[in-house]
Amino acid sequence: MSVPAEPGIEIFEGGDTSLLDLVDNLLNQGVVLTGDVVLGLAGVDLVYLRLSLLLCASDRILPRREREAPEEEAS
Amino acid sequence: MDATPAAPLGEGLAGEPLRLVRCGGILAAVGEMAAAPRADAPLLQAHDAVVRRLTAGAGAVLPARFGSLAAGEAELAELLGSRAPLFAEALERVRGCVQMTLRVFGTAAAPADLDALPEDPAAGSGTRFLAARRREHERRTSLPEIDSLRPALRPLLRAERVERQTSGRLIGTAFHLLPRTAEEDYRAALEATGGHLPGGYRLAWSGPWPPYAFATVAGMELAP
Repeated sequence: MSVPAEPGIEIFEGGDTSLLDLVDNLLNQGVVLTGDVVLGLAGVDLVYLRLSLLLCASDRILPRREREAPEEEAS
Repeated sequence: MDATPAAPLGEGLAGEPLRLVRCGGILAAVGEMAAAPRADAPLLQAHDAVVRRLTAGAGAVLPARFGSLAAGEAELAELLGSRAPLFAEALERVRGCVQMTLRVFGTAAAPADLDALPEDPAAGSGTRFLAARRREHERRTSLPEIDSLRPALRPLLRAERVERQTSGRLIGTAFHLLPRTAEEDYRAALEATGGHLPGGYRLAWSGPWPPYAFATVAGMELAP
């Protein structure tokens, strides 16, 4: 599947990093008790899934069986 | 957190009432949920709003990762209480501080030619292995692309954490912990760059955030 024309990158580089930083801060940082989070981001217009930033975050919270094919899900 | 907030705790991200659970020397603000929350944008924003509210009303707060769950108060007290001294240390570090997030875009600078450093021919394989590990760690946690900014930032920062990316136009992210009172100077230093640094690097920053990137406590920084 083709990837949209990098709107995530544009948002990111355009100075409004707040939403991405929100995702990064809340899913990738902070004190961890369990990783028991359901990934609902696919339903949002999160084209930024291409960013390694988010792949890193989702890699930490996706159930193991879904980690097997992260590339397909992200593209 | 380490002290009861002055303001009411209010509600959690799903509207549930929050309460404090004592875990050794620290306090955890918790709400009961029937299931793990979905990580969608509105709930992430709700979580952030709760953390900000608590941060404003308490001396020092370490944000928990979104969706952190414990089976009950006893488990929570055991999880956190057993590491209370580490949490106390981390709380002290973030007291009165905010996090600013600085992202650097462009083409990464060629890594300093550390590998070309002469190796001690007498060094054993173990020593060489450890030296290589150290170089790799330094590469992943340094951001020489913003060196030209450091003289202006250094007096403002209490701590810095760097995450380098291995691909893409985002070279890396510097998480900066600074006293709330230094936020204005920090912004001024970045605005003075116009968002550009020598070398063709572009900057994007956001904040102030609660100290999410400084809430790591030994043994609790990795998802199970």
